[in-house]
Amino acid sequence: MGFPFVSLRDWTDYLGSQGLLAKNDQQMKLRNDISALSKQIADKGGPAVLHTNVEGHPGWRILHDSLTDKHKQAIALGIDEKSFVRDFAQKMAQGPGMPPVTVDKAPCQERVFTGADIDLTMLPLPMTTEFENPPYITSGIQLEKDPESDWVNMAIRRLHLKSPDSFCGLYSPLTHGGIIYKRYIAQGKDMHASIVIGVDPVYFMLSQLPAGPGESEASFWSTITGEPLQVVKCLTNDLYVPAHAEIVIEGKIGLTTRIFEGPFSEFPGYMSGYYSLPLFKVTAVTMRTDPIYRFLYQGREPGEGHQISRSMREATTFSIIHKAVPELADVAVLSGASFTTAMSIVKGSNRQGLVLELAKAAKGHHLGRLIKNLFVCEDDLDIHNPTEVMWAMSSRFQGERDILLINDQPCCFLDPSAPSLGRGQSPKTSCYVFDCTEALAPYDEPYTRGTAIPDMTPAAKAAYDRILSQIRVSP
Amino acid sequence: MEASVTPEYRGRMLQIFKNRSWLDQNVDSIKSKYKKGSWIVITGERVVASGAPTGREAVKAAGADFDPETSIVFMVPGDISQPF
Repeated sequence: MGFPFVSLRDWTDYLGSQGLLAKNDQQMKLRNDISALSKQIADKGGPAVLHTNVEGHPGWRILHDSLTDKHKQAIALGIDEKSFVRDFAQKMAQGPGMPPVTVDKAPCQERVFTGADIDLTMLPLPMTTEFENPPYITSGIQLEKDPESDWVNMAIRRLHLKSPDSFCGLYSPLTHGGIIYKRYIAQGKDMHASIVIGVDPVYFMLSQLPAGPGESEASFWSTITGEPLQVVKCLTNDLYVPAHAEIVIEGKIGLTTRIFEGPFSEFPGYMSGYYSLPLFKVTAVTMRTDPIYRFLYQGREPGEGHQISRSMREATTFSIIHKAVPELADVAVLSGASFTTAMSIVKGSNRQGLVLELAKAAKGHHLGRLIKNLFVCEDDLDIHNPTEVMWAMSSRFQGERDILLINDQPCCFLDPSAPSLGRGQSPKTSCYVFDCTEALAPYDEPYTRGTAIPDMTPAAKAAYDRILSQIRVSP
Repeated sequence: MEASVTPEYRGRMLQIFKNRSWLDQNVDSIKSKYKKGSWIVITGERVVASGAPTGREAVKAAGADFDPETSIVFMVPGDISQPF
């Protein structure tokens, strides 16, 4: 049992064997309780949790927080946690891997529901906020195929249930899913799509990969694992889904029906507004006999979704921007799915204009679209630690000379601070670049430059370990 | 044991769908009748409380007409964005 993990239950079994998963057999309410527990784990640290006694849903299990920290993410990806960003970037630089292998019989189709048997109330859906009604599917990965190419986009979307056989999903015209849907509208055809819930950890993390237009995220599965992904053809459309998924929902999105959706607790930490969205009509539901519903808390960070998105963005941004700016040493998403990001350059490589070059390279790429606060530091500090970034801002930054402004940028429509311009208009935002690199020589202060920090000697480290072993450290 | 849903929980969900469907079909008239930003409670496919400044105040105002499992507690919107 170990990497690569081809199914969610492989992954949960492994986590259980390593003491990284807790089972809960005490029934909790689907309204609020499970999402509040998930938030607590994200805030304070904790194991993956598998609930085995689910309100109103005998025979079901619910899993959450199996990828909330970098330790578990690194295990899932088969990389070193200490060099996560570079290791993952190196893997991704190999490009898409071997094609998937199609199987005829798949665990995700052990049970099949079509026609009048389709019933989404079967799914045990934890609700995130007290007024969420009906509930949302929060961890469903939606796959849709471009009608003009072989491109299959996948992304986690919030899916608001509307009836036992329909729901709405939020996507904007600027997202890849939106671009594909517009092509179906232009062709006058319904868009077929499939939702997969409860997949292996690599597939799940890849759904959060900020891939470029035309890039199929799933094509990197074999790059990371070294094996081909096993897929099965959906029963009512031509999409292929992971054979070992827990649940698959197949359906189609029509051209004209629009349904009122929202509100929902979105990733920036506020309730989002209301939307009139296309309706997803379910044509089949397939699942394993004893399925695990994978729940993903969404709302104010930190949360499992934020942590996964953060890791994927850091590694992908590093991989792309490093090619344009080789002095780039690291990327850290500090908040808001990259709304606030820190980048570091190699100490000693700074030169006139480098920070602006780096900022323009970041904002000039689709990966930088969401960045509106960019801290540029040097790699003598850990930019994944916000305290160290703030130290750099306190001791290396002067407002009148170290702020760069890149104006008139497209804004994320879910940014709660963005001005609301009314229907049909996209707000604009600015990107502020905070140059927190050390001022270039010559210096005018009378003391010798050098940070005041003692070396961590072997004796100091041994004493620290000894001291920790004497006390019980609470989580 | 095959995974399933209890009739009781399913019944609750079907009532939630009915309440939400009623809201979806009547959102325009709700917007014209109630103040933007105020909160209403929908139970049994009708508005049972309105005009509250917060969701919790609306729940209090609804009293026994509020069902914590199936009522819709809703803030009256302004513009509703339609991306497509």
